[in-house]
Amino acid sequence: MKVKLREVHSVFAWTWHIPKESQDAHAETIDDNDGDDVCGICRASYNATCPGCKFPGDGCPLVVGECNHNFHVHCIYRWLDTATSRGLCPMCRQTFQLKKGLAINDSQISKFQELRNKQWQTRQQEFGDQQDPETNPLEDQDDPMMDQGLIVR
Amino acid sequence: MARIAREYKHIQATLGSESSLVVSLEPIDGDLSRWAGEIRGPTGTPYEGHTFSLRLVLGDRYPTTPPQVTFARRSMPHCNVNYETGSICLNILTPEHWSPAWDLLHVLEAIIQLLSDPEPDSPLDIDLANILRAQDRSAYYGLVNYYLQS
Repeated sequence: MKVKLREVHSVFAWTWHIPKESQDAHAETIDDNDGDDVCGICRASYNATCPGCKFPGDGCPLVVGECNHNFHVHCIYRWLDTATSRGLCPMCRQTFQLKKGLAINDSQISKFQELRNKQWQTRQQEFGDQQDPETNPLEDQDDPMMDQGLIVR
Repeated sequence: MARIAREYKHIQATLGSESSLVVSLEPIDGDLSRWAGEIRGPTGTPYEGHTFSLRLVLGDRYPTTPPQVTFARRSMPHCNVNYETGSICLNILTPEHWSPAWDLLHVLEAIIQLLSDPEPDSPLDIDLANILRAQDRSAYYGLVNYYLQS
């Protein structure tokens, strides 16, 4: 018997590959209607986009934290880029760090490192401001105890 | 879809069960940045049997920043609530302690918890807090009851 193919409709699906040990961390969080795992910040599926993006995939990737909590990179970056986040994971309140040795994180490492440096500098500036009599006239600048405290910190 | 729209879907799907102390949570006039909530007082407290109205206002940056939540004016006698204005002192509602992983339902649950466990060390009503600090819970509850009846 000969079969003649007239047309082929290819259908495919994709999903982010999340390393096994990082998958169950979200078991308690709310699933969206499709039962997919969702980003703890925007509540959209990992395979969908963050609220700021239109196209899923490489344009709106995931990152995996050292604490095994995963987020859209845009969501967690926006959070970590606030002073009030104090660099902490929204789910578990540990310092959020990208898990090492994962392909999914590799392209983001420098970006997150820059953010950490930026915040460190901001803190340094605040630190410097305290010593500046013009910006903080109420502080007693000659207080030796204060100076000691600053050095210890 | 914005996060708050997803929350709204989730709220509509989960609310309405008899066991929940959250009676309702609805955007005001379809505006997803202003919400009206209603909670039941927890059992074993003078608030039991009463329903309380709350207003939740979301900033542009929600959920990066916490919602502003207040009770209706002159409705909630509680040592962590300003009776006149209805403003609430609750650590998770401050930018320093807020997490974007929390949502409006978590906030209402936390407030219900606060009704059961008043925290006299961060008071907004100093007189009520002082009674509680003096370990006189029955006097505290008596005064709360008096306010609730009046």
